[in-house]
Amino acid sequence: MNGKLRKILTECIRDIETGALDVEGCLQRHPNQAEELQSHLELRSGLETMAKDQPDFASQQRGRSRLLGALADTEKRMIPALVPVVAKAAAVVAGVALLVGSAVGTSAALGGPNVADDILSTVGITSSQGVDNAAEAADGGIATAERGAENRDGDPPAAADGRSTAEDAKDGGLGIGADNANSSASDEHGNSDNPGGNPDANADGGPGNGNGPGNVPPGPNDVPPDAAQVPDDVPPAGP
Amino acid sequence: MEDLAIYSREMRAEVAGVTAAELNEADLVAQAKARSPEAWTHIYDSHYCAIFRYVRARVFDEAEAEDLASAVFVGALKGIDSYHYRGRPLLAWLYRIARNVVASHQRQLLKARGGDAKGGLGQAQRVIWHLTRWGRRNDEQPTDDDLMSAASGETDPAMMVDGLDLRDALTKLPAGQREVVILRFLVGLSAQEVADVIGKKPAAVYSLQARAILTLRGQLE
Repeated sequence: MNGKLRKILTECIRDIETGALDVEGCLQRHPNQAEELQSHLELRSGLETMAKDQPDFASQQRGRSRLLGALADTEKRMIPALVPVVAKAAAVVAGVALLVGSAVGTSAALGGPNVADDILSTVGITSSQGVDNAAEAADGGIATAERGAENRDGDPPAAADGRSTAEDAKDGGLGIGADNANSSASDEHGNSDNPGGNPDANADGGPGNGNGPGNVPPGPNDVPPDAAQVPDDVPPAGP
Repeated sequence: MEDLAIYSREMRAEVAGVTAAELNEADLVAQAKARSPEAWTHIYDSHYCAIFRYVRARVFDEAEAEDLASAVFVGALKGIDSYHYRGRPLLAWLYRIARNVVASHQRQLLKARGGDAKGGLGQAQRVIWHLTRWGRRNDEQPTDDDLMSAASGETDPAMMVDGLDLRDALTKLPAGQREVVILRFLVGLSAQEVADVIGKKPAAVYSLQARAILTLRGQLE
């Protein structure tokens, strides 16, 4: 193949396609190769003016439908694939929430650090406020407390006056510390979900007592009755 | 308000040296990745014609070309998640898929219809052999008249250029020259577009075009 002719043809094609020259201009620029060049440029013109294939409209529509059908199938496959992932994520979140909740409750119940109280303190609610709230709740719930005093479990209405505080715990003489009392106070703050206003509920950090028949017997952390507060008509609690 | 947002986005793009067309294609690709039917419809409508013409130039049969052209877009849908838009035209990616689809199709064709019948034929003759076998049962053999008819271009007068059966001639061109001729003359892209699609500079496209024309002219003599 003639390298010079190829180079000239390349230049001519470039000039024609960029609009710098037309075919006649190229031939005039290269008069020595004009004859040979002309046949090649005519072939190129023939290729360029050749009718382009036009796709059939109906087949184009079919192709589009096929594509959109495949798109719908892809989406259908993606949804079932996502369901297990979402379910797993939800299960993990629920599990973590359960563990945290259990840990917080156990910690408070066993007299350890009261995480709930720490959290509450961040929103400006303190244990003392909880005590006050408990007292207010107790004022409204004396009748309930009195009913609780009649229970067989013998829990005295020690907190009937709402003083379920550290002092009460100390008075009990069972070594229940102020921390526990404080946690009780925070429990009483949580007494908002106890619409009956029963001041005894969780006042000692143990299982709910003084709420009537069928209650769980006093636990080891239950505050014993303060003798000064035990009514005469109620037998002393405990063994 | 929306116009203002688009204007602002385009201004930022220009500052970053990105053209509005690239921005639109980038957006389009993002929507396509999100499986937007509108985006896919837009891609299909914009590029189907070019892809069909390319496939048609390679597989000869129109019905088969239509089928393969739509397969290119389904393939694009399957591969969109692994595609990363880097400023090259989306058509370049579709073209690569089309090239692979056609190559795969031709391999299957050779395998399925191959056998001993085509064993002694050259590449161009094999293509003509496949062309003439379209619509036949697999156990039928092409006759000499079939081959003569196909070789003379009687099957498709539109592909005759100055007495040259272009499809036959294309099979004899080196791959690079063939791709340029198909994209430039059969698909109808400009030299710059061809350069973008095949990933070369326009000067290389002019050179390949000149070489292809010299080769094609040689076949006429």
